[in-house]
Amino acid sequence: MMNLGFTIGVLGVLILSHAAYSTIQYRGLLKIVEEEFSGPPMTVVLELLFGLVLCLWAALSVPGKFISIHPDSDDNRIVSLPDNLDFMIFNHRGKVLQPDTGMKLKC
Amino acid sequence: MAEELVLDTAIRDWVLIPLSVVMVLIGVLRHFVAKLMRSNQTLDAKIVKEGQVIVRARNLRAGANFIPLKSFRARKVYYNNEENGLLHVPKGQAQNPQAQMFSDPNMAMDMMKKNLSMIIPQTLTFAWVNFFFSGFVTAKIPFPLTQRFRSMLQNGIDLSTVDVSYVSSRSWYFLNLFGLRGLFSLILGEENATDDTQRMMQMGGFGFDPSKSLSAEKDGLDIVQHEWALPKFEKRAENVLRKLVG
Amino acid sequence: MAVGRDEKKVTDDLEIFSADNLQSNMKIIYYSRTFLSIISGVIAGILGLTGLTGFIFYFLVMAITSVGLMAKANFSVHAYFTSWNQIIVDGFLSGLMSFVLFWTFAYDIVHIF
Repeated sequence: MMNLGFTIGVLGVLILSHAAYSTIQYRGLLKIVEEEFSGPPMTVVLELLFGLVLCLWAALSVPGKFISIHPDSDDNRIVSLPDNLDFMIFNHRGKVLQPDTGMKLKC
Repeated sequence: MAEELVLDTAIRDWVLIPLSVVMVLIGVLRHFVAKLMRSNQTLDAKIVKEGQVIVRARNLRAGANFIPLKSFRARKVYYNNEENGLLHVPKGQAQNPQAQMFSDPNMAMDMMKKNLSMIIPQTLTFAWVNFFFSGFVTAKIPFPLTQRFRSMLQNGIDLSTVDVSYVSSRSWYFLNLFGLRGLFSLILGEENATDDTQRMMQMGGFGFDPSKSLSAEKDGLDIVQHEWALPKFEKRAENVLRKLVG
Repeated sequence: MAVGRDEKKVTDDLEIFSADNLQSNMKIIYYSRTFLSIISGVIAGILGLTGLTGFIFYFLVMAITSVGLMAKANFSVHAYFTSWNQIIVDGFLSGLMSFVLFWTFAYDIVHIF
């Protein structure tokens, strides 16, 4: 994901520089035919838009994911519950025996 | 006065672009040179210990509401009591930070290195720009500005008839110097050596007095109002578990 | 889970959140905004925008960025940030300097020579 985003960002920057180059060419052309510059040609505008979208994607995906700040969200769980929760049984004969409270402190 | 100047494209290819590229590269170079020169100083055991105590006290203050009142009081006494509390500094034992600085030549050396690594490249680049690129009209800012900015933007060319939005090469150097910070934080990471404001902060915190921060932390711990945040957490845990299991 | 969270809000008004994670989220926002301010500067320069239109373009791109960041946070801002301002307003002005520099740079390269 990270690498894909980065590649897309590089691609976007390359597209933008190509757009810049073609605009320079266009202005050179206008200078020769002696016309006024009113705006870049349509293809360049489309190219810029495309580059912007690519860069937007890169900017949103490259820096990483947001992490939840709630203490009780799944991201911040220190102890994770096992997946086979359905098979956990508390109602067994072990509850008759006295739990050894000192054991927890020892280990 | 506002008529367009016709600039040679050679100025773009041989002044504007090289100048900007060099500014970026010098920023990167400075970052890595500063990283190389940063000596890892050996710390005094006592100072480290005091720092750790402060961190622990701060953690207690932040997490005060997550432990019962009794536990909090016990910990507070451990840090704050007047006889042998960890944060309690006996009078007259406070060390003079100035004296400490002079007793440790390494520290002064480090500071000088930092200063030099900041000043030398800047002076050199400035001299280089002055020598190579003086007197060009390099750039044009795409928005209008008032006359007051003339001295800032047209440093090095003395023409009062040129429109203010034109920028001389020397001023373009300054613009780069201030504006590239965002780019550097992107390509070099957050704590890069080119960030001058951060350096200022470091210098401000340089001659800090450990005993002072100890007593400040002590005062902070004293005024903490304890209010247990988890009076019903067992019930809540039961609810959550019940929902998961049942 | 959601019920538990609501209950907590009733029982105590204390805001509990992880400061480290908040910090890292803010850093992500900062990176996104800086990169996009540079990119928007380049685009504004190539388009040849001058004066006020350029700044309007900047604010437009930043608004799009805000929407994008919110979409990235699945529109549940309070799971990742303490307030809306952090996602919408933060970094608006810090990117302006980069924007102006790259705007000028691209504009000069493309248009004035």
